[in-house]
Amino acid sequence: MFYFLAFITGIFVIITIILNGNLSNRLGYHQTTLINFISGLLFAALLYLLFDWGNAVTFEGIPIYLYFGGAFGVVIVILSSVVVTKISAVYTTVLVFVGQLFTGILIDYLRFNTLEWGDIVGGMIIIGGVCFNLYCDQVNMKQKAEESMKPAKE
Amino acid sequence: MYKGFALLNGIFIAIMIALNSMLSMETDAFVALLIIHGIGLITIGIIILFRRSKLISLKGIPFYLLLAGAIGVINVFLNNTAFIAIGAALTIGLGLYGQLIASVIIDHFGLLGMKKIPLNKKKLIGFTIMAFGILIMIMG
Repeated sequence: MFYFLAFITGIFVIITIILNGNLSNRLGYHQTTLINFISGLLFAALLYLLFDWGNAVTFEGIPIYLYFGGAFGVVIVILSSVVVTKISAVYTTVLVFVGQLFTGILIDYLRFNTLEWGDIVGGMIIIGGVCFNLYCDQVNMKQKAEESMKPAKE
Repeated sequence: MYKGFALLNGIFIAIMIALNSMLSMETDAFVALLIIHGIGLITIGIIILFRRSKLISLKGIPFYLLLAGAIGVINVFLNNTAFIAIGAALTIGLGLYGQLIASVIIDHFGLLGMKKIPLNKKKLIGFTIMAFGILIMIMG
C-alpha cells in the first residue's frame, strides 16, 4: 500500500509541473512559487484544523536542520527553472534521477547503517530503463526528422 | 556547470523528502505540513522582497491553476507517509516511476492541454526494465 502511495506522488508531481508551467508563463517562476506556498499553507492549515486540532506536539529536541525542508523546496523550484533552459531534457532527466536515487540510497544507509545491495543494483537497473526509454525517444526524433526532410528532396 | 546543477537538484529533492519525513516523525503529519509550507513561504517571500520584483495581477487567471499548492501538500503528505514505512530509496524510485508513467499517459492522450504524442511502444520495454529494478529494490 505504501508502494502505491509513493507511486501516485509521481502523478501529482507531473500535474503540478504542468499547472505551474502554465502559471509561470503568465506570472514568472517566483510569483508562481509564492502562490504555491500560500495556497499550500492555507490547505495545510485547513487539514490541521480538520484532523489535528488540539493535538499536542512538543518541539523540544528537534534538530534544527529538520525545519529546512520547505526552504529546500523553494531552492529546487528555482534550480529547476534555471536548469531546464540550459541543458537538454535528456541530461536533465538522467542527472536529476541519478541524483535523487543515489542520494536516497545514501540516506537509507545513513539512517539504518546497512547498505542494501538490492537498492544499488535495483537503482542501476532503473536508471538503465530510463536511459533505454530516452534512447527510444532519440531514435524516434531522428526518424521523424528524416521523414520530414524526404519530400523536400523530391 | 548546469549539468552539475541538475545533479544537485536531484540530490536536494532527496534531502528535502528526508527532512520533511523526519520532521513529521518528530512532530506529526499535519503539524509538519504547516511548518514545511510556512518555512517555504517565508523563504520565497524573502527572495521576492530581495529581488524587489513587481507582482503581476491575478486577474483572468483560471482558479484551478492557483490550486497547485494544495496538490503539493498532498504530495508531501504521501511522501512522508511512504518514507516512514519503506525508506528513502523506494519512495524516490517509485515516485520517479510514477512520474514517467504519468508523463507518457498524459502525452499519449493529450491531457491537461498538452500536445498529443502517441506512445512509442518500445518504451514499454524500458518501463518493464524499471519495474524489474524496483522489484529488486523491494526484495534486496
